[in-house]
Amino acid sequence: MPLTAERIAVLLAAIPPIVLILSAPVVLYIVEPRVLGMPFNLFWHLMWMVAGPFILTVAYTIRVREMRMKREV
Amino acid sequence: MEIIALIIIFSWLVITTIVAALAGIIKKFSLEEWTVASREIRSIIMYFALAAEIYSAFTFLGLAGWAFSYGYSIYYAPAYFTTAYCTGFLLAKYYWIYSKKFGYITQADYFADRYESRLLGVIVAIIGVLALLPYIQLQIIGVGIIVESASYGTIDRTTAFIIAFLCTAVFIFIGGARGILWTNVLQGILMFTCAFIVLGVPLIGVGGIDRLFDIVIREFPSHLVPPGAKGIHPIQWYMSSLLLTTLGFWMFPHLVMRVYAAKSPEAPMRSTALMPWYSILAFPIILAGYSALILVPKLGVADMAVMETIKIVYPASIVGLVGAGGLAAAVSTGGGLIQASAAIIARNWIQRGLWPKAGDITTAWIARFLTLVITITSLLLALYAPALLVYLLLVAYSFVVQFFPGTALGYTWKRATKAGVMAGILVGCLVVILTSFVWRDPYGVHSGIWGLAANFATTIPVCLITKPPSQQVLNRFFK
Repeated sequence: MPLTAERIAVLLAAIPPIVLILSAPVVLYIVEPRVLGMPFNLFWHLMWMVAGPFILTVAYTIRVREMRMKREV
Repeated sequence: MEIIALIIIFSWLVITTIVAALAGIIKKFSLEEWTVASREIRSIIMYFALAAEIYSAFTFLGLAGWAFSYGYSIYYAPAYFTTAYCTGFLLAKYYWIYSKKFGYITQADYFADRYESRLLGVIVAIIGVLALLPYIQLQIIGVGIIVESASYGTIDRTTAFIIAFLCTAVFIFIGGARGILWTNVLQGILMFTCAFIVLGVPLIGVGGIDRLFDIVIREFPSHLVPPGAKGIHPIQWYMSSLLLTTLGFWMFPHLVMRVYAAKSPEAPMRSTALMPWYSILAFPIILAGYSALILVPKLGVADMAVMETIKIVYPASIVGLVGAGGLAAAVSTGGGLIQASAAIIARNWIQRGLWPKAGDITTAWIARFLTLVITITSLLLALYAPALLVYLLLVAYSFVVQFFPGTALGYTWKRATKAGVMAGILVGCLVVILTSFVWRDPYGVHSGIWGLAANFATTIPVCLITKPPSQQVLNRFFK
C-alpha cells in the first residue's frame, strides 16, 4: 500500500487519539510530579491540547499541498 | 450592583440579535443561503463560528460542576477537545467536497444520495433531530442558571431563558446560517475572554494553582485519579467515552452543516486543526470547579460552581461580563441546534419525504417557521416537562455515533450498501437502548461503543451479501 499524502495525513491525525486513549490506564493514575502546579494527569491533557494543532498543521500542509497539485493538474 | 451585571448581559443579547438579523438581511433569501450561508464562509469566521457552536452552556457550567462533583473523570473533556478535532480534520475535506459537488445542505442529504435511499435519509434525519432536541433544552436551562446567578437573583431563570431564546428565534428566523455564523464570531471571542477571567478564581480566590492542588491532594485525593470522587468512573469509562466522542462528535448534524457553509475545504480543515488551542478555555473552568471544593464546599448545585466562585473573587461588573460569556455560549450553541433541526425537518422530513413537490423557496420558508415552532416547543418542554428529554439525552450521543460507519465507509469503501448501513444504524441504536436502559454500560464501557461495535458487526457482513451500489453512484463518488 503506497504511502500517499492522504494516508500520511490520516496517520498523523490518528496520533493524538491513539496516544490519549491507550495511555489512559497508566497516565491517569500519575499525580506526581506536578507541572505548572497541576497534577501530571491534568497537565498531560493540556500538553496534548497544545501539541495537537502542531501535528494537525503538518497533516494539513501535506494534505492541502496534494489537493492543490491535483487541482492544478 | 446587580443592575450593572444585568445591563451587560442584556446589552450583549441585543447586540447579537441585531448583528445576526443584519447579516441575514443583506443577502437574498434562499434555501442555500438560510441553511449553509451560500457556502461563502472563510477561515477566520469558520474558526470562531465552530468554536462558539461547539462550546456551550455545558462548557461554562458542566465542566466545573463535573470537576467539583466527580473530579478526574472530567479530563475526558479536554482529551476529546483534542482528539475529536483529529476526526473532524479528516472528515471535513470529504464533507465539504461532496456537499459542494452534489449540493447537500444537510447530513441526511449525503446518506440519501450516497446510498440511493430517501428512506435512509429520513431515518438519519429523524435520529439527528431526536439527538439535537435534548441539547437545545440543555442550553435553555443553562441560560436560566447563568442569568439568574449573574443577576444575583434579580431575574428568575424562567424569565431569563424565555427572553434569551425568543431573541434567538428572531435572529435565526431573519439571519439563518449567516446570522448564526456572524454572531458566533462575537460569541466565540467573548467566551474565550471570559474563560480566562475565570482563571482569577484559582489565582486570586485560592492563592494560586500550586496551593489549589496542595489542598486538593491533601483533602480530596479521590478527585484526582480513577475511579473519581464518587467511585463511578473506572478507567474503561474514560477510555470508552473518549473513543465515543472522538468518533461521534462530527456526526452531529449541526456541525456537518457548518462545514458545508465553508467557502473552501481548507477553511474547515484549518479550523479543526487549530481548534484545540481555543479549547484551552476549558482549563480555567475546570480549575474553578476544583477551587469550588475549597471556596464553596457546601455548594448545593454543582453546576453553579463557576458562577458562585467568581462572585467571591470579582465585582458585579465582571460577574456580568462572565454571565454574558455564559449566555453567549448557550445562545450560540442553542441557536445553531435550532436552525439545524429546522433545516433537517424542512429538507429531509418534508421536501425529501412527505412533500417532494415543495420547491426550494417553499422549503426555506418552512424551515424559517419551524425555527419558531422548535423554539417555542423547547421552551414549553423546559417549563412543563423538563424530565421528558432526560432519557433522550442519555442516548443522544450514542445514537449519532451510529452514523459513523455509514459516513466513513461511504467515502472509502465501494461495497458499502444501503441495506448494510441501514441495518447497522438500526441494530446499533437498538443495542444503545438496551445498554442504556436494560443493562447499563456493561463492564463500565459506554453504551455508544457497544452500539458502534454491533453496528460495524452488522454493516460489514450485510454490505458484503447485498447488491452493490449502482455503477452511477460508484462513478460519482469514487472517480
